[in-house]
Formats: sequence, C-alpha cells, structure tokens
Amino acid sequence: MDMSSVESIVEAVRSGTSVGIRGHGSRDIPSSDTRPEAWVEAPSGVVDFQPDEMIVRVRAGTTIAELDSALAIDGQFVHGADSGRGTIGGALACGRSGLHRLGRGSIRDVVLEVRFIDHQGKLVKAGGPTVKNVSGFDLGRLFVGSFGVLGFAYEFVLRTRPRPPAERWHVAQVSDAHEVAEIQRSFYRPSSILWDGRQLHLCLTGHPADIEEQIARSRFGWESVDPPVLPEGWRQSTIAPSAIASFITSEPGRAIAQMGTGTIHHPGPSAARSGGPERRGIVTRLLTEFNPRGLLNPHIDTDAL
Amino acid sequence: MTLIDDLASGLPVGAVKVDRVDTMLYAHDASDFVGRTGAVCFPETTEQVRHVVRTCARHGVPFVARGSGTGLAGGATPLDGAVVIVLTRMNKILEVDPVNRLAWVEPGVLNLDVSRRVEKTDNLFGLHFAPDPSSQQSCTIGGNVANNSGGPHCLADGVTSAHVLACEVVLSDGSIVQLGSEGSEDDGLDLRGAFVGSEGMFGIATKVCIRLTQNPPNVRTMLLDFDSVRAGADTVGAIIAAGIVPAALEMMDKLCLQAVEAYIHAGLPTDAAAALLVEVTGLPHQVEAEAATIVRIGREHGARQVRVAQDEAERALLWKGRKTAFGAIARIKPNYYLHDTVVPRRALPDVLDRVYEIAHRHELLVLNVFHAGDGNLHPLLVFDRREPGVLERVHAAGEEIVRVSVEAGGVLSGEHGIGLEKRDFMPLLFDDHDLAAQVAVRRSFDPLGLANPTKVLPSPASCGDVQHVPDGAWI
Repeated sequence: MDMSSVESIVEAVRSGTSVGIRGHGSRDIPSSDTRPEAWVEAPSGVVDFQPDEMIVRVRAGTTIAELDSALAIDGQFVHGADSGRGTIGGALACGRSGLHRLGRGSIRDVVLEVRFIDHQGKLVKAGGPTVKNVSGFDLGRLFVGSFGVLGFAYEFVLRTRPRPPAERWHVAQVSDAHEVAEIQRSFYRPSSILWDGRQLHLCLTGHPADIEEQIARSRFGWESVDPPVLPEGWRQSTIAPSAIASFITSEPGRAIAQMGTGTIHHPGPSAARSGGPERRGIVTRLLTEFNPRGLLNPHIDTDAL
Repeated sequence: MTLIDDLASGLPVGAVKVDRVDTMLYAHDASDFVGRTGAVCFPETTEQVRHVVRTCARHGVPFVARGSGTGLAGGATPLDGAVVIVLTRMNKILEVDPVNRLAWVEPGVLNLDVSRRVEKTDNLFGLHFAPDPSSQQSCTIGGNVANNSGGPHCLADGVTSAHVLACEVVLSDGSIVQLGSEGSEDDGLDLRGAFVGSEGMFGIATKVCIRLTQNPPNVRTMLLDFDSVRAGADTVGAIIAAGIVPAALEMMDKLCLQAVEAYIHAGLPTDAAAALLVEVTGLPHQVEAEAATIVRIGREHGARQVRVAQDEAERALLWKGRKTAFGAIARIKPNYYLHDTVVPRRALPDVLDRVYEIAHRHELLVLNVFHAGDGNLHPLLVFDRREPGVLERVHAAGEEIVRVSVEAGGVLSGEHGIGLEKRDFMPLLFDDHDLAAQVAVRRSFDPLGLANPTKVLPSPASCGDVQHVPDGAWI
C-alpha cells in the first residue's frame, strides 16, 4: 500500500495544529464556526475486491463512481454507496443510507473493518476482513456518521452484495394513509416506498417476473417510472415511523417520507437531535477520549452529534 | 446497610438470592468457566434494574447482567463476587407494529417467542425476528443484543445489530438512556451500534426495539453431498460468486453426518466427505431460478447427489439434521467443546484440513458443522471428561484452532463473542493501539468500570500471554 498519503495525514495530526479531512465536499455536514488550520485528504483506490467473499478493501478517498465501477464488473455493489457524488469515506462519515434503506438496511451495516488515524497520529484498526465478526467492540458502526471527529478513517473493508436481477420503480396516486399501510403490508420486502401525501413511489427488486406479478396483483393502478430524484437542497430528518402518516397527511407535498424507516426529506432545517443529558454524557466522553483537544475536524459542530 | 440488604430494599420480596444453590447456579453460563457471585437479583422493571445498578455503584461492586445463560464464551460468568442481574423476569413483548415491522420487547423475552408471536400478525406474509442462533428456543433478546448473535439465516439477513433499532439502557451510574430510535438513522454518533455486541460491558438493555422481517412465501431447501470437503467449499464460493446469497448455506462433515444419521435417520449420505444444506427463499420465480443455478453449480463441482426437500416435512427433517448435531454427538462421547472462528471462505478447505490434523495430533475426535456461507467454523471437539488429561488436550487443540484461523486471515469469533474464553487471544488480532481504542469506547459508556468487567479486553499483564483460566474463575 502507498502510505505516502496516510503518512502525510499522520504528520499533519502530529504537528499539533488543527486538521480537517475532506473529500469532495458534496454532502451536507453540521458545521461549526471554526476552520481547521490545515486540510488533508484521504488516500484513494480500491485495494482488493473479492467477489466470492463479498468484500472489498477500499481507501476512504476513493470516489463512489470508481468503487461502483470496480464492483460492477462482477455484478456487485456496496449498499449506500452505489450512486451519486463524492467519496466512500464521505458517504460513511455522513452515514446516510439513501432511498433503499427499507429493503437493503443501513449503510452502517456494510463496514466490516475500519482503519483510522487517531488524535495522536497512531494507526488504529477495528473489526476484521470477514463477513461475520464479533471480535471486540463495534467501532466500525461508531465511525459511520461520526463526521470524522473520532479519528480520520483511511481504509475500510466493506461488505458487497450482488445486484438484484431487476430493480423497478412504479408510481401510483395514493393520498390515504390506510392505503399506504396496505401497500406496506402487502408487498414482499420492497426496496423503497416514498410517499409525499399525493403520490407513492414503490421500488421492487428481484426476478422480473416476480415484480410483474406483484404489481399485477395490486389494486393501485401502478405506472412504471424512472427512479425518482429528491428535490435539490432538501434535508433529511428522522422521526418515528408510526408518526409519519399524520405528518405527511397534515400538509401533503411538504415532505417525502421513506415509509417504514422514519426518514423524511424536506426543505426546512434538520430536526434537532433527540436524546437527553445521559446520551450527551456518553458522546462527550467519546469526544474526550478520541478527540481530546478538538483538533480533528474542528469545522464539525459536535453539538449535533 | 450491607450490600444484600441494600439490594433487597428496592426489589420484590425474594428477588435477591444468596443461598448456595442459586449462587452456584448463576456462577456460570453455558461455558466451562465457573466464577463466584455474591448475590443474584431478579428485577422485574427498569426502575428495579436501576436500583440494583445504583446499589452496586454505591458499594463499588461490579455487576453482570444475564438472560438464559446460553453463552458459550463465559461472558455472563461473574468473577470475584460480582452481583448477577438475571433479566428473565422482564419478558414482555410490549408493542408490535406490523406495518412498520418493528416491536418493543423486554430483554428477557426468548428469541423464538418473538417470532412465534408475530408469525400471524397483520402483515400479508407474517413476520419474524431474523437472527436465529441455534439456542433460539432458550436464549433471550437481551443476550442476543449483548453478543450480536447470528445464526444460520444471518447470511442473507444480517446479524443482530442489523435488526436492533433502539435500546433503553441502564448505565453503570444508574442513569437511563435511549440509544438509537425507531427511525434509527438519527444524525450523530451511532451509540446503539456500539452498544450491540458489547457483551454487557457498556450497560444493561432494559427495552429493545427490534426490526421484524417478512416471512418468505417460498422456501427451497437442498442437500448436496460431495466426495471431498474441498469440493463442497468450492461450491460455496461459486454460489456466492454467481450472485446468489442463499438464506442459509451450512456444511456438515462426514463424522457429523454419521453421528446425526444414527440419531435421527433422515437418510443423510453417511459415505460423503461433506454435505451442504442450502436454502433459498423469496418469491416463486426467484426461488426457482436460484435453486436451478445452485443445482447446476453443485454438479459442476462434483456433487454426487442433490436432494431437494419435496415438502415441509422433508425440509424440517433436513434442518433437524443440522440442528440436532449437538444432541447426536452425545452418542459418541459425553462432553464436547464447541469452537467458533471465522475464516475467509476460500480458506475453508485448508483450515479444515488443519483442524483435522490438530484434533488427530491431540487424540481427539472433531466434528464440523458450520455456517459455510459466511466462513463461520464451529469445530466440535468431542471427549469424555473422565479421561485423565483430556481437558488439557481439548484446550491445547482449541488454542491451535484459533491461531490457525487467525493466520488464515480470519477472526477470533463469529457469533459466540470473546467473553473470558478468548479475551487473552485478542492480541492475536489487535495491537496495543487497537485495544486502547476499545478500552476508550468502553470507558465512555462505563467510566466506573462496573459493568461486567474483566471480559473481552485483555488485562495489560496478560497481553500476548495466552492463559486459559482468568483469575477468579475455574473450569
């Protein structure tokens, strides 16, 4: 492995100044008023892809486009990092699972091993390169969505998945919450259900004939469509899945909900993070342990964590 | 006030036990590690758990939470008089949401009871809790959370962490905190993710919000048998490489097939070197296509027979073969030691060869029945405890199996956890910096260090120096 880039990050961290790590700056991050004195970038490149093991070792600065095309040769992908802009390190640092969380699960479930540079410039590893592992605590999941404040991740081993034989989006006019619940209950493991109070987009994956039969059996007058695109500049928040129906029906069109997951997309600011002082206590102690002088990524607003 | 009186003051009458029988009973889990407990508590509410934990903090006494005690790594073995907190009386399913496919349960609910309860719920397909450890009839959800439990069907659906949305946790200072949420993707650090699999060392889960999974409408179960373990293992890799992730992909070796067949008479191929139990699930066309591909790949890799279960009864029989392996071996020898390591799938044949060689050298019988799809080995060393010196040989062989797995690019444990059993093997996988990071996370959740101490993390003195029985425990 070419360590030059890792070494340059280590050097920057050891210099005692504040350091920020950046990818393409393509994602929404919780910003503070502080700016780091130095910027570094993570190394890039797909180190090792083993399709029969369903794992890929990849450096954090690798673009999602590059990772995706490397995996596509063998018909595989990494969930949560299979389209869009930016780097894989950025996608994991922000921890957004994307529109298919209902069917594919969370992006944090893809991290098998993480290697990072800690606040003293030491190289640290957690997890391991096997698809199943309970050897030690799960630091990998802790790093997903941590915005780089616990250390600078430079390499991951990620779980890959075969692409389904078919992935089809359909749309229907649905305004009644009971009908939405009926759809949630009656389709088999849909990949995504998006609802804005007027229209419902449904993504089914698997064998094309199974998809056709499920659609044909349903009474909602489905039309085949291209994958939907979220409006530019909208933000993501999380509420209780059971609260979504009343939230959406109270003002149709004001938000798009990923039904069954609690994720909503909307034009307003993100909802304040929930959790009381006890949760804050754990977060503060983690920051004290992993970023005691606040020199790693000082541009991140840690109050949002 | 003494610790015992203090504990009793906030618990129902009879919920603190200090007699010899109870303290012996709760001095160990299903492993061979036996410790010592000063008191056993049976709280029924979060508030009572908080009382016990606060009392322990006040007296500076460590505590060990446990469910049914089915753990195999000594994770729930109390050392040095720790207070054992038994959560089996907190066994209510509190809420089920069949539309959003989630449920709130107490930690003492049994794994299989959740699936039974939601099987016929208001969802066209019925629901279940995906992690299915082989102890699922008796293990608890709280234990599953602590160990990040797996099971044969985790190949496609993921282990426990992928199915836990939130936990209400009592921290070691007695504070109560919710980690994660029903929506489960809040901004900020994923403390829920760190908590799952923390082996009781971060706090005690008193409520768990779990994700429920729709039951598959179609299931195809197949048994393929081979002349060599290598042919079976190569088939596993080829199935995955063909873009199929079966719901389950299990392997049994010859000795295991013979033991099981003698026990249940399922018509298993006792002359085969290895057999694969493969299950594909889902909608009909996909199941049909995947089953056909698997049969073709099996034949290309020299499968002698491909037996497809013709009905639910035959399917149940094939699974019975897989799941009763532990009962079957009792016919060979009275005791067994079950190991749990993970290796890359491609290393399976070589590692299995080494396992046979190690067992042979230590004059032990070894059966292999394991989750081949994810490379999760479960060598079963079979022995008779009454034989002089046999335990030493069992442990020596076990240590070699762990070392061989790690040398092959694998890890210490796939689903049993580290506990006491593999605590001192951690330096095989992690250096001092790696372990310091683990210690730092633990300290962040439990600054007092009272939640199940002395597990998972090797003590500095024992780093690199593998010892089998930690201080305070006996085998």
